[in-house]
Amino acid sequence: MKIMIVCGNGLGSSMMLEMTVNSVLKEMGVIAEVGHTDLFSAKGEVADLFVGSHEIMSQLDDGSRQLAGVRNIMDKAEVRAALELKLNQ
Amino acid sequence: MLNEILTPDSIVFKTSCPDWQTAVRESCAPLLARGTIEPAYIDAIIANVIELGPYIVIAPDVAIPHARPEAGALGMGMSLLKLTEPVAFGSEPDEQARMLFAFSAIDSRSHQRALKQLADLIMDEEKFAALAAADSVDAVLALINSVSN
Repeated sequence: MKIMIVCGNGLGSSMMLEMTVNSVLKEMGVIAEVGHTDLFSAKGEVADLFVGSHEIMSQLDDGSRQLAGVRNIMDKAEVRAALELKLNQ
Repeated sequence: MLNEILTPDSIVFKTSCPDWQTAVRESCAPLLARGTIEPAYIDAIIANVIELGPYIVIAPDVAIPHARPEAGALGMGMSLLKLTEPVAFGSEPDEQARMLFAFSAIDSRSHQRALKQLADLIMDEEKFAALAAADSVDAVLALINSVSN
């Protein structure tokens, strides 16, 4: 499974969210390849799930992608709930 | 690491800012003064937020104003603007911030450890509460030092 974290620039918020996602996946016992990128590059990326802030996710939504939007990217409980919702589908 | 790039002269306290654009400019002022960024870098941050929304507010009360290295970053640096009154980046209550950690990076890797340490500080409830309450450079530095190694 490949999870791509997306933010506006691909080097600040996405990197911090990647830390949260990695720590949550470890707790959940899920093995996945996790990377981060900027919104522009994300439009050309293929991944099983894209994770980012709601604003960024709505810009990425073209109907073909699995998206998980989060509000507080440092909140492990919120990130876990968003990931569980998508990964259990 | 974090304490090497977030130095005493880059921590600024202010009561309030009239709008988020002013807050972003004020938060970047120490980086500009140190020659870590060009003025264009600040304009790029503001343009990004206008285009993509307040995604730089990463947690309640915390914003990390930054743009891409090629937008005018000359070196790696971080500064902190600490406001008494929150400034609104959007209409939602969780889109306000009283702590603005502006940073510049020259590639996509070198600042990774400093950001990780900042994340450690934000995710530690006790330390984060102390940071929110800190009203002196020394108090902020003590917390920064506690997550830096």
